[in-house]
Amino acid sequence: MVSFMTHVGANPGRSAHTLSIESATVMFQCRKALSKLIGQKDFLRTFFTMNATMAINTCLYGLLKEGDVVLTTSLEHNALMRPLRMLEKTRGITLRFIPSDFTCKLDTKAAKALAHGVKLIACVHGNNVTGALMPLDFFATLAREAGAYLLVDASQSAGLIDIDMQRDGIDMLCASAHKGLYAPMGLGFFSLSSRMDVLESFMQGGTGSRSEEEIQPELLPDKYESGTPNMPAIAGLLAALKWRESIGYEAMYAHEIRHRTQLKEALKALDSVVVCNVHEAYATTGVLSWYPKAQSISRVAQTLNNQYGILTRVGLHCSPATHKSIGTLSYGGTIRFSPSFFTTDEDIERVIWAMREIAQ
Amino acid sequence: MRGYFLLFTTSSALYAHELLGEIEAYNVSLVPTPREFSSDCGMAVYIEGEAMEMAMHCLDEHRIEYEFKSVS
Repeated sequence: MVSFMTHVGANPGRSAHTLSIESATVMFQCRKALSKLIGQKDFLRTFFTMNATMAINTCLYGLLKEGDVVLTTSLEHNALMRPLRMLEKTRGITLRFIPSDFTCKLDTKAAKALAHGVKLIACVHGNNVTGALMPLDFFATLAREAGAYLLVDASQSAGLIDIDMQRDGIDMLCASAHKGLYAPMGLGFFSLSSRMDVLESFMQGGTGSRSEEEIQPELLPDKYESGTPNMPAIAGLLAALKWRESIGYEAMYAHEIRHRTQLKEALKALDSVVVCNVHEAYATTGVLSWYPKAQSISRVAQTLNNQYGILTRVGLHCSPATHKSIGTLSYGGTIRFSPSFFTTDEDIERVIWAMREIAQ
Repeated sequence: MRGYFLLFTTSSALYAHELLGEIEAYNVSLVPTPREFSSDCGMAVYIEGEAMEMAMHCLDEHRIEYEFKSVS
């Protein structure tokens, strides 16, 4: 990123001078590497956005029309839920929700009954509150049988879990780049299957192509990429994608899960807290939610921050639907630990020590 | 023979440049799209070689849209 900003710093695709070509080449290489990672065979069908929210909005607003029916889950982040609710109000789409129990286990029998006649099945992959990984194979089968498109919000799982759009039957894959992909903030993406030529552009503007025309070009990737992209973040993502090649999914996932397991076991030994369990049939990401039985979550989170230097996410995590489903809405949400590949054993030991001390 | 492959997006120009650059029979370079051929503000691929059939076949095979403008 520093190298890009120091030596390149030009707008890609707006000219053909040396630095503009260098900038465009960084974007081109990043698009190819990212597409390869997610099993997208045609890299021109992967598009950069400001974040996952913009990616999801682009897909929903580009696809849904009056009268369409969408099936989603009762565990969705507001990045998906809010645009769906807005489209329900403004375009008259109908929403159906797959119920979940308090362990994030979906009612698959109900899902099958609800899938009839839907245009789109939209779901999160890794739940951002509990870490529960939703069954993509079930959703793919459900979408295929219903003749529906499948949109997956992989913000919490991209880079951590092996996702292959073709193998997993995903039509629209949306994610942020700053979580499991370890790019800077301010970058997201979506990738489309070959069935998605029906998707209209959500934003229109300058693309550096078909400049004589006042209408948005249909050419990919320009159709969905108007305006200047976040090139420092794209350069960062490219560097991150190269870095992770020598590590791989298995090691990254094992690292997070080992720490999650250590945290979970330590918390379960404490009488003063409740750990949010995920159903045993579901794997998880590294995140772990819990709440104190007798204290406010914000006070405990503040103590962790101020006295121990341990930073947590506290509250509803932009996912009130999840908290409603798992029964933590009335507590104001949960405290979430979010270990990453860069979390060390010493970090985890320190958290466990702090938690035991607070519990005394 | 020499000329310009006019591509319609920056991505397809880079892709075409990469693909054609792998064919030994050609010398290729990325250049500003010549104004006399297009009003696009992006890049074109300038190419020199014996015949353009192989280059066109390559781009067709990868489903890259283009126009070829021969220059003397």
